[in-house]
Amino acid sequence: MTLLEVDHLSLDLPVDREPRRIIHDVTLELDDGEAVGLVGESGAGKSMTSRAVIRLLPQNARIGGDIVFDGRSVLAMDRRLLATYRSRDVAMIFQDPKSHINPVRTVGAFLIEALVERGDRRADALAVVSELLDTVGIREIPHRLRQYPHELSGGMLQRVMIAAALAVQPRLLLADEPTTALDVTTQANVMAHLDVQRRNRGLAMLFVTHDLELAASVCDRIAVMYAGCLVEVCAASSIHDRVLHPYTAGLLASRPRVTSRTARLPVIPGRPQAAYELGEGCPFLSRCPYALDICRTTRPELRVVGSSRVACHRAEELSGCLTDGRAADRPGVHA
Amino acid sequence: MVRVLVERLVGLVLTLLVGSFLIYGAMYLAPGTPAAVVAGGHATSSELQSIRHQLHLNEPFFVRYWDWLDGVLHGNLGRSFVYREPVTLLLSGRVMNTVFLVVFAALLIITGGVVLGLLAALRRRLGIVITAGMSVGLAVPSFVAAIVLISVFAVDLKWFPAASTGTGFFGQLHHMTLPAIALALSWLAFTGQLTKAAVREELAKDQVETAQSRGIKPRHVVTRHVLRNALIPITTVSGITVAGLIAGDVVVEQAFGINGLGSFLVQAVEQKDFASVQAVALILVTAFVVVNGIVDVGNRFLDPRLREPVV
Repeated sequence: MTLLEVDHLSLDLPVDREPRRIIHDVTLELDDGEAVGLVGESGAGKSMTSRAVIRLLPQNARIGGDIVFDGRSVLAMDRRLLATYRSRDVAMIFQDPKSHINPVRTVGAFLIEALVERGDRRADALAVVSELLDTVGIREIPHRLRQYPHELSGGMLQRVMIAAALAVQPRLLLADEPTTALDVTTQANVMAHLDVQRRNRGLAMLFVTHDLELAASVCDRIAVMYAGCLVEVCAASSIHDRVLHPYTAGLLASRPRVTSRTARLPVIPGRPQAAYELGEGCPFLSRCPYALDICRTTRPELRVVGSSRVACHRAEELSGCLTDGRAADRPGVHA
Repeated sequence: MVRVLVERLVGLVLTLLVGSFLIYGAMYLAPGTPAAVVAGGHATSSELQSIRHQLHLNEPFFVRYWDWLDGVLHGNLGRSFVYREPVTLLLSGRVMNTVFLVVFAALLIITGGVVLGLLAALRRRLGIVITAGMSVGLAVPSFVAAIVLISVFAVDLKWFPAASTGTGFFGQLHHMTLPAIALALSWLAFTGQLTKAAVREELAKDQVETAQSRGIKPRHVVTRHVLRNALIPITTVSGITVAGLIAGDVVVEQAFGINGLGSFLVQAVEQKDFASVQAVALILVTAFVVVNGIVDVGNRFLDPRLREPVV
């Protein structure tokens, strides 16, 4: 059953009173209990897309298209419905827990706030969050509840944020780079807790990250964004052998391998485009080694190719020769 | 926490000691000698000499400072040369007038400043009006405010008395309203501007975004995640504000003819009544140092990051 539909979403933000396009026409569905990884470089619009789902956008943002959660349009909700939706249906896990948890209030106050706000009794709320803290591996819970955020480590604080998100029993988790601000050693630990809890509860998740491999390991499907456009949506399991878009292939190739030593890491030539810089053609045009004339004149639509959806004119032709190691040997992708 | 309090207390005593030394030393360096003032214009040098002896003015500076400090610590602020009475007696009737005025003004500043600053930061249209009003208020010196308030509310409308002090709490309140407004006005505007800036800064912070994403009511977002955090800079500046009040008090008491410490200080300076000037200056410095100490400790309660870690 479809839980969330992002339907032709577009987003403009004014810069010096000129509207600038941040997101171009993104269409994406999430089923109940399904995890989708939204992957792309900084500025690709993935974080803004996840914020649009909870309507947490700058006041002057202009939104097009629609976002439908369980049959209801999120963009059309009035203030009260939106508050209910935010406090019961979705929960967001932010990138930096040190700044996203109020530094002058206790950890306990942060954890129970949303529950008390919607009418739960304090004692009940405390019991709920204490149990959750235990499941995400936090000990000495009564002591932790009285502490302030700066007294906890980043990894512990991010697990507190995860517990706070789970406490409201949402149907959808929005995780915006939840491990990016943490030490590499704690990243894996926090990610494991998030993954286990999500699977145990059968929650849907929109997982925003720049790490394609990480997304593939915890998600069912992967959606790749480039310059505010969705360029490929595919099953997480096919990421290593059936990649269809040259950008996705480039992302995979530019990841360091533990198994083989290379003199220099492969990089995608050129620089990332911003959504507002795009012309008529394909967003990836200027960096694509396979570009043809049609790529310059017509922007490719997201279309079904095999079991994936991809926005590339040459998807059928390139199918099979983009995957991993082989793509790096092609002319134009510098090794 | 206890260690911090003890540290603060020691610092406070040291500051007061340095302050008292500077006050005493400044009067010592001031032109004109007390003996000449006491003796009048036509005194002979032998008369002056006997007065100097009587007032211990021939003793070395440090001996005199020590005598004075010893007296102060025993509650004796010296004798006024002009009134020929103990300074403590002269001050006792006046202190309460000043305390009433300054506390009244401080309450106006804190409540008015925080409320106006909050509205200026949160409301778009009203905010523009309040901000403009605060800019004007900030620029009006207290003696100008005093004259305008007297002419409008005391002379024309006759709502409040123009001068003197009242009896009983409500009588005092009635008499002190205009002086307190005159004293508070520019500091109220200053606190308001600061509150506005602090609230704007907190509104843009990540914790506000988190609260919004959890469906917390806007009212609670403001009180728990904006104002609560903004109180830290507001409290710090309130301490400085009190310093301004103590200085501004002198002007306002003169303008409204209030018989308090400020007007007494002005008279004492004019008459070279050294003991009185030293006593009032010492009281003002003490008030300033104590208030700042309280603010400093208060900030530790407001900001857990300044506290020692709970082990």
